[in-house]
This record gives sequence, C-alpha cells and structure tokens, in this order.
Amino acid sequence: MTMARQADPSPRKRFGKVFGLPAVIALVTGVGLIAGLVGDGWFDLVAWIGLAIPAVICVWPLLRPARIARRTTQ
Amino acid sequence: MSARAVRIWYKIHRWTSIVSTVFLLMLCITGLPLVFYHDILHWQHSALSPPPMAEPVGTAPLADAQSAANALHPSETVTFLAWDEDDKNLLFVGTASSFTSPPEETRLIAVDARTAKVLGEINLNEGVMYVLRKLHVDMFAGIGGQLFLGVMGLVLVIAIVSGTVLYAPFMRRLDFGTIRRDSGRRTHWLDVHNLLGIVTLCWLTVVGLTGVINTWADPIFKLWQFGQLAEMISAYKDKPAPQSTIGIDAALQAAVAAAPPGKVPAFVGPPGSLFSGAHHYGVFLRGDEHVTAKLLMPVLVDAETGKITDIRHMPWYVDALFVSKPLHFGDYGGLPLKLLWVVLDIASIVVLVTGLYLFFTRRRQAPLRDEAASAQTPMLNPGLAE
Repeated sequence: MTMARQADPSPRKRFGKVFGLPAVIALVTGVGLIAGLVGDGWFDLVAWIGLAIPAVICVWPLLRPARIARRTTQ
Repeated sequence: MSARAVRIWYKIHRWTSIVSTVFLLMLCITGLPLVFYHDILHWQHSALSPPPMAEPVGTAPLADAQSAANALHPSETVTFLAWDEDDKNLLFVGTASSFTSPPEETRLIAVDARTAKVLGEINLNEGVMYVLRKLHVDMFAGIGGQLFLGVMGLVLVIAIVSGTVLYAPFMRRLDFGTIRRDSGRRTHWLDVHNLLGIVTLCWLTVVGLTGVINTWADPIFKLWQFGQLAEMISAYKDKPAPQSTIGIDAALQAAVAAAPPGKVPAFVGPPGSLFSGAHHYGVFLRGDEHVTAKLLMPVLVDAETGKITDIRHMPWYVDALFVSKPLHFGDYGGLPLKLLWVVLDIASIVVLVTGLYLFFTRRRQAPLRDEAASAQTPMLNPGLAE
C-alpha cells in the first residue's frame, strides 16, 4: 500500500494539492473555449490546445491498463 | 470540511444526479452525432450546393430568388430569405401557409443566389438526424419538453458543483489522476468518475449552461419581438398595411448602405413576418469576423418609402443566445474542435455511467458517504474531521 497516512499539511496547501491541477485544467479549457470564439487561425489553435488538454487526460485511464498489460506479458 | 457537510453535499450530489442522469445520458448520446449535424446535412444534400462556375457571375435579384421559390408552392407565403453562413451563393427561402406557421411547417428551398435557380427543397423533418435533433431539443414534447430539459441542465449544474465540492474529501490523500486498480471494482470506478468529472468540469458546465440558454430560444425571441422590435416599429402600430411596397432588393440595398461597414446580410424578413411587422422589411445583418458573425443587427426598412425606420444592436439577451449556440454545438473551430467535443462528450457519458454504477452498488458495500466520512478506513477517508 502506498497510501500511507501523511502528516496533515496546512488547509491552504491541501486545497492547493487537491484543486491545483483541476483549476489549471479548468482555466485552460475556458481559455480554449473563448479563444475559438474570438478569432480564426492562431485563435483556433489555442482553442484546440485548450480543449485537447482535458480530452487527453480523459483518455489517460484507458491508455494505462494497456501499458501495464504489455509490461506483464514481456 | 466537517463530516456533516460532506454528508449534506453528498445528498445534494446524489439527488440531483438521480433526477437528471437519465435525461443527461440521452442528451449526451443524441448530442454525439449532432456535433456533426451540419456536416451530415451538407453531405445528405450535396446535390443542392451551388455548382462551381467557370466565370464569376454577379448575384441575381433577390426578388427573382423569392419568386422562383414561391413558384414551387404558389399558395404559400415567403416567410424569410437567408444566406448560408459559409457559401454566400446559397440562399434559403422559407415558405409556409402563413407568417405564423410553426418552424416544422416551414419549407426550406435552396436557391442559387447567382442565377435565382431553385436547387431543391430540404426536408429537415425526416430521417435519423431529425429524430436525434428532436429528442435532444424537446423529446418530441414541444416547448414544455424543451423547457424541461433546460431545468435538467440547471440540475446538472448543481450536480457538478456538489461533485466538485465532494472531490476534495475523496482526493485529499490521493495524487491527481490516481486510478486505484487494486482496491476493488467500486474504488476503481470511483476514481474514474472523480478524474473524468473534475477534468470535464469547465467544459460540461459551459456546454450545460449554454444548452440551458438554448432551451429559452423561443421565449427569448418572443421577448425581443414584443420588446425591442415592438419599440422600433411602435410609430406604425395603428397604420394600415402598406398598399404598395418597394422591392426586396431596394430594401436590402438601403439597409446595407445605412449599416456600419463590414456588415453582411444574414436574412431578410418581408413585410408581415414575425421579424419585421406589417410595415417593414426586416434586414438582419451580421459581422463578417468570427464573433460578430454570430451576432445580428436588425435594420427595419419602411416597406412603402424605403426609408430606414430604425437600426440597432440586438439586446444583450439575444446576443447571449447567439453566443451560447456555438459554445454548445462546438461548431466554431473546425473539425479538430468537433472531435474534441466528441471526446469530452464521451468522457461525460463515462462520468454519468460510472455515477449510476456507484449509485446502484452503494448498498452492497459501504454507502458512498461513509467511504468519505468514516474514520475507520483511512485510505478512503481523506481526513475529514477538522
């Protein structure tokens, strides 16, 4: 078990640990959503990147078992 | 967060999810193909695209396009003329038995804007895409169904907020993105639910809220019709209908000339239409830049004199509706954006299905709230007592 109890950090640090990355992802998604509306060309690229980040993280759990399975068969 | 607070948030999350999940699943599943609605329509009706021409030709008078379309159904009235957003050579002429006919009873006739030749009639009220769109918009239950789905969207937002609050106690001791595989099936799906839920947070909130705004399209139009439009034409309220009218082309020219530069016509409502009232041509212009292309500017041209009665920006609530459409459909950033919409939609379906799984397995194992709130299982309990 790697989930041993850790010493409790301060509430602010804990909040940051839990919501830090989700907040960044939400912000990036929001920027992407708006960028696509504002313009074409570079703005579209920003939109694609902004939405690709949550999309890739969503697909992440699908990719992992395959990798583990590969490792055990080798 | 106290254990009590977690229990309350858990209850909110559970009940809002119970109420809305079935409808949200339906919306997510029907919404998947609808991301490509316009592409599919274009593909289905590829024969109706204006053919390429060897030499550039000008545009035919709108009046010709109007009468060509009207000739197909002489007993009907032309209720509007609209330009395709992507192809300015493609005109859509709407005809119906009266100006107040509902949209489902309005025929859509594609006309080549260069030659005023009818390309064909488009029936949007048949086939698989029609069924999917109807299910998605109002479940074949009219305005009631539409508004009901809007309420479900608001319930979704509460489920998202409560789910986000609950994310904290569940993830306190886990690194972001942790998917436990050695602690049982339920824990595994709980982790997937939490990860996909928090990652799609912003996207699903935006798509959900803009969807809710879309369900208000009819009331918003009515609000505009009886608000701004009524105000713009108030001086004509008691006048008899005009005896003779200037042509639709003269009205279009007058409107474009009066508008600020950079505006292109989006559609025209002839006198009598719901968009213009009995005494005016309603010429609706849009910008040709990205965001402004979604926003309309109504120009009301006196049908008898050809003078501009009024020209305004749409009120904020109409603009909000126009901006929320692309944000809901994901049709504003080319194919890559649509594909990302599909991935995030599927992720949302997984969140809904895993949520159902967690709900139905809660009795066989410890209730979910105990997983978060009990102090006996430190691994699942992220230290709630503070």
